Amino acid sequence: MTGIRWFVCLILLALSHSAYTVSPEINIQQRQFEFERENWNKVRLPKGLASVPRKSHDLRHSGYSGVSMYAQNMLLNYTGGIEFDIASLSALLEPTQAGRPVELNDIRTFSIDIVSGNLTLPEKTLEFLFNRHVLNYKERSLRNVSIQTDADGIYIDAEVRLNKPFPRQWLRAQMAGHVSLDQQQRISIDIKQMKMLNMPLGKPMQMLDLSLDRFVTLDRPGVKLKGRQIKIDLGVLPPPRLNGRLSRAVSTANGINIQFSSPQGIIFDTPPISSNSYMWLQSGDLRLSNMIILNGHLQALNVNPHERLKFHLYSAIDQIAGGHVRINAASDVIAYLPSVIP
Amino acid sequence: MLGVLTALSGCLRSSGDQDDYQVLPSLYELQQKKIERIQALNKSSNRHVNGEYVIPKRVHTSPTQSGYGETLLFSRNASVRIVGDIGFHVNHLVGRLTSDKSDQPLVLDNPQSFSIDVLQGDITLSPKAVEAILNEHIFNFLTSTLKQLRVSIEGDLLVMNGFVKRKGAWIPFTLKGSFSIKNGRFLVLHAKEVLMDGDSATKLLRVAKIELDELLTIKAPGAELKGSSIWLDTRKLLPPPQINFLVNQVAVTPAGVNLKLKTLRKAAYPNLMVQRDSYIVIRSGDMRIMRLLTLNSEFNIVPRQADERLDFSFYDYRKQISQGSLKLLKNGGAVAFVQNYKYLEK
Repeated sequence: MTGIRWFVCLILLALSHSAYTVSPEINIQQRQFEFERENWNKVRLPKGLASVPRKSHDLRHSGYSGVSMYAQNMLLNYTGGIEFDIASLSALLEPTQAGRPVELNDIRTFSIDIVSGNLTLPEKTLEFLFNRHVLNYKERSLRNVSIQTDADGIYIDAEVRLNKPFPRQWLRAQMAGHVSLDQQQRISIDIKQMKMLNMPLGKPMQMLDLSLDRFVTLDRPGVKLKGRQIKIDLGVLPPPRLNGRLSRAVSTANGINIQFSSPQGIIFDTPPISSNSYMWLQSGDLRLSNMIILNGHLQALNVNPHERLKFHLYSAIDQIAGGHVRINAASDVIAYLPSVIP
Repeated sequence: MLGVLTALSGCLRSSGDQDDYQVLPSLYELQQKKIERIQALNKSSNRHVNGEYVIPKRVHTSPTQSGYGETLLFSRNASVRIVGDIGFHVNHLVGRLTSDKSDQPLVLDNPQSFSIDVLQGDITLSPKAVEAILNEHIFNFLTSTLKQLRVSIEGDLLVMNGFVKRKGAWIPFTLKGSFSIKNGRFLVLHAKEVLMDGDSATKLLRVAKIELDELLTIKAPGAELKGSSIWLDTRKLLPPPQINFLVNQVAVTPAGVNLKLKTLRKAAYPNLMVQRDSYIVIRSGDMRIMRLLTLNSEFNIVPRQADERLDFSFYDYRKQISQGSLKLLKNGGAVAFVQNYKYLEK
């Protein structure tokens, strides 16, 4: 060894003799912390979402805009009567303002961009959507809508108020139609049969080439009666805004099934807890009340492992407060949620 | 066709209604009310107000920054370990936590990145804790002249047994002493009785007017033998986080060395979010706890075992949290039910 190296070694030895030795437990903890800190900033995007740009990251930001989400075999409840039965769903929750976390407290502040998915709008959801949301205005032409579906079609029972010059009286009507996807990727309900006061009107209307929209008006955000077709797009839903490219819409015994697809496949990591019903937020920053979960890795499960997860989007804070949270050694956050909000 | 419909409507003319429909609040408006309720809950928590101690809000706030730059720690009836057995029992304590980077949140995961200024408190260092402090921290270096120290209490005296190095040889010794305070910062252990290799040397030293430092060299970061007293610097007693306090009174009790700390600022203890009498509360300011960032924090730390005293370790808190559970509350606060240190799966 050269003379300078010996000199340096002697200096270091002298210093080590005069300074206390750091406890091995502290050394271990510091090494674990450094490893964990690298973990905090790791790239966590699911494969296939690599195009999402990453800004600079620090102790308050992961640098990712949006939260990547995968949902499996769960119920997503907006508010009371609007509930989606999700078989599978891959989506990006995007804040409406860049640089902000996705704030679950405030459904105005983000949109849900669905990449792929298979979900069903149950009959009760369709009824609630129409009665409580779409038709919640003074000049409505439909009310007290009830809906049934099966593999052959959709059956709508409602009270209808005809346009002028007819008197504005409510008449009981039954409609039967076929559900499909139109060329603009909208859900299309093609009314094949119509009865009013038990008198079939479909054939006379067809023979006379009279369209239903001449007698009844339905033109609301996300829902439009055009000819004898009711066109429904994702804008029918209350916030958060749902975006996505519909690839299929059919009626089933459980409601209207809609599917989304994308040319790019998205592959999410396996979440920490094995379950067949869960929601997994893999990357991005999510704010719940006063707490931000940075860079994802949040899994939500039903507190009862034998039940499907039911997530109340409009009451997320209340629901989370009714459950409990665990953080495992890898810093994954696991939220156990009750189905019913206490 | 038109006739049919007219006839139909005519039939119902007498039974139909004009539908005075009252438009309901939109679903979005209902959710807005929930947001406002949550925001009001949050605001009413007033975490920045702690009796006389009101934390000012900085101008800059954002969705990831609360604007409150100070964080307070409150504790009662808890064991606080820095690491291992190095720590103290808290009778009551209020401290201000300060990050080494002023505009960044406090990082609880890294005890070396923040300091604690004690504002008021009453703590006790048990004999086991004093032993650990001396053996594992202060005298834990290659050329230390003290080793294998054991600490116990005899009446109002601290008893230190161990080995001291003199002229290249390790000699068993016993020192019994009482404490005084110097400048609020130094704990001075005055030797009342000294035994070397089992034999009392007290009388000889007194008669010959020999001070201990004429015979022995005891010098370490945080400890120095001056005359016949060992001076302990409270600023260097413990490994990080740096804990700064001034001592008003010191007494040796059956439980250990009790320190009554100087009150630098008064702050009112907050109400807990759970019913417990042993706890740590970290309040106000922004803080990183693993991958969570709490804004204008309200973080209660209590033991999972409801009937036990909290036994918290700064360097093991991640394990304590991951072997316990958390409750996130509607008002934005959180309660960590941690696994007590002694039960940790290592």
